[in-house]
Formats: sequence, structure tokens, C-alpha cells
Amino acid sequence: MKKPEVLANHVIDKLRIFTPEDLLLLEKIVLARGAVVVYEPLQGSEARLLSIPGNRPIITVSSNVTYLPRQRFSIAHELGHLEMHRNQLHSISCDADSITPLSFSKPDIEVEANQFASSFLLPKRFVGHIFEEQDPSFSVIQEVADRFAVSLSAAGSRYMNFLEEPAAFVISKRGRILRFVPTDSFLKADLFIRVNEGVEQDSMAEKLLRGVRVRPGWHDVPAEYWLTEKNFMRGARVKEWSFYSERFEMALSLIWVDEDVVDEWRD
Amino acid sequence: MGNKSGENTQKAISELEKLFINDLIPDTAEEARELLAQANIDTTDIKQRGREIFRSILAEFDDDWRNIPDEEVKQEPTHILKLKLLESLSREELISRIESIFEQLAAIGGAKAVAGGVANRNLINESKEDLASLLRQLEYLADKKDIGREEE
Repeated sequence: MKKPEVLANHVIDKLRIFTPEDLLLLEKIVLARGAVVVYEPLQGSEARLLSIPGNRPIITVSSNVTYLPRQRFSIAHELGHLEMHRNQLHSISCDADSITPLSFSKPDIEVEANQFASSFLLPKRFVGHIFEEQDPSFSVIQEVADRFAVSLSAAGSRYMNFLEEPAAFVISKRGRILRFVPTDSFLKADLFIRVNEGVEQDSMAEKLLRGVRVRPGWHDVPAEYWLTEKNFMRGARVKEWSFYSERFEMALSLIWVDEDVVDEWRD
Repeated sequence: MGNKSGENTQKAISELEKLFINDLIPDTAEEARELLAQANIDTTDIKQRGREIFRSILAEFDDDWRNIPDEEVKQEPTHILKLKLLESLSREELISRIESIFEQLAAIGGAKAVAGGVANRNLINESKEDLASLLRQLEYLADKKDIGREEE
């Protein structure tokens, strides 16, 4: 277990949080941890932590962000900074790019705060059985997002920590693949998503971004639509389940590599 | 508090006993699972009911964080937002005041005084509005420590 997750579990234990409903009381949790949450219209950032030893820390969340799951993730992100660097002197302003559940590389303090937020809002003790007892699907992401008041991005990214299958959760916007979070087995299989490239025409994500209606569920698509690998077996396919977020005008895709797709003997 | 706590513990025990009304007293976890399966009892449901019972009992504890009144949660934020936002100051003036209060508060709190640029990560990149908001919060903290504020 990574350090931010250990710390998130420590806070959960300390506050005797034993139902998912307790996690909805985020401002009370922050107060119980010695800080307060203030909402005001920040211009250059989405959230800020002001922490000076001997004073009550202040978490500021931009009231310009009105989407509740996003606000909750920002609060948990700043709580992560506070818990990880208690008794240190700082004012940390975090912009939209820093506060994201979709980060799995670059081990810096922002990534650690994001990992804390994911582990805190979606702790293993509450989501583990939901994620692990069902076959891979986008429905489980929606179920967890609704129940825990987090965004689909946050639920989808966290899902990748529990799924044993080689899979990736991918975000695409304005015709491009922006970011992805892989499962461990996806990485171990040396697979990689075509991040920063255009979304392949006729993939479900591309259709959704074009406004075409797509049946919810798994669709078999050519592996090269999503993976960077060049040495594919003939006819290699992966499963894609995409969802369109009207609020953020982006496609969220679950890509599941459920069969061998790479021909290791090909040059 | 001691008596109240004792009563609550007793209440928790009696509520839990109600869940196991059929006297299922297994010796091992495996035996317990078998008995539950035989009795067609949904363990997830039991877990959920157990959590709900404990939650309702905790609701009676005044010192539990879950029972902090909403007014108390909003109290300090309301005070902060009532303070004047010094938007008429220039960026340089805002940064100078921020660094000054920051260092005074840090010194009182026993923290090592760190140069503003280091302690306040991204301070130079902050918008003027966000600097004014940060200054307002620092002045709130300074007021609580009786540090005199500069007049506009």
C-alpha cells in the first residue's frame, strides 16, 4: 500500500468512519481534523490550503466550481496536503490540472494528495467488495460514483486499483485521448494507451464525442484503436465500454484486454 | 459521561443480540459462514444493519464529530468572509502584506520563518483576487493572535 493510502486509512480509523454515509460529511470531517472549509470564488486555482503551525488551517474551495463531486475531491485533496505535511508552514494553491484522480505517475506532492483523496473518498473497506465481486463493467463505476458522491473519473480511476484484468480507464476530449489510468496487469503486460493521439474513428468514444448514440455495454473493437502496440496478432480486438459526460463534454472509456493481442514473435 | 457511555455500550450489545436472535453461536469463522448460509442469511445485510445501529447510537454522543452542529461548521468561514477584501491594493502591496503576516504568524506558532516565496508556493503566479482572498484569511488568523493589522 502506498503512503497516501496508509494515511487516508489512518484518518478513517481515527474518526471511526464505518459507513460510506459518514464520508458524505466532509466539512465535519475537516473540522474534526482541525481545519475549516471556506468557499469563495478563486480565480487562478480550484482550491487552496493555508496552514501555519499554531493556527487553524483553512481549506479554500473555489465557489466557481459548482459540481459537488469535484468540490468534494478538491477538499479531500487539500486534506491530503494537510495530513501529509502537518505542522508545516505553507499556502498551497492547486489548479484544475493538479487536482485530478487521473494521475498515476510523477510522484510529487500533488499526485500524493490526489492519491490520498481517492483512497479517502473511496476506501478499500467500502468499495473493495463492490469492485471485486462484479465482472468488469462501466456500471460498477456509475454505482460507486453515485453512492459515494464522487465523479465518474474518480470512481473509474479508483476501480483500476482493484480490477485484476488488464484494463485501462481512459478520458478523451475534443477528439483526443487525454489521460488514462491502467490496472497493474495492464502495465505488466507492457500495454499502453495511445495517449495524446486522436480518438480512432469508429471507436465508441469517437462516436459519442460526435453525438452518435451508442448502446451502453461492451463493444469489440480493433486493438489498434486504443493500444500503442504495433505487433498485434491478426484480428486482435479489445473490449470498449464508453460513456459520454455532457457536463464535461468528454468520453470516459473502459478498455479491457480480455485476450492475447500481441504477437511476440513478430518483428 | 461515563454512565452515558456505559448505557450506550449496553444498548449496542442488546441491539446486536437482536440480530442473532436464533442463538447462532459458532466456534469458528467457517462454522459461522456455514450456519449463515444454511439459514439463508445475507451477511452483507447484517453488516449494513450493524453499521446503521452503531451510527444511530453514535448520534447520541455529544462529542462525536458527526454531531457537530452545522452552525459550528459555518461559524469561522462566515467570520472570514465578513472581513473586508482589500482589492484596492496593488499586487506588490498584497504580496508584501501576505509575507509580513505569514512570518509573524509563523514566528508565534514556533515555525521556522521561511522566506515567503518558498513557503507560499505559487504566490507569484496567484491572481490579484486570489492574493486578496489569501490576505483576508491571514488577517483573520492574525486578529485571533492579536497581531495588529495595517490600515488600508
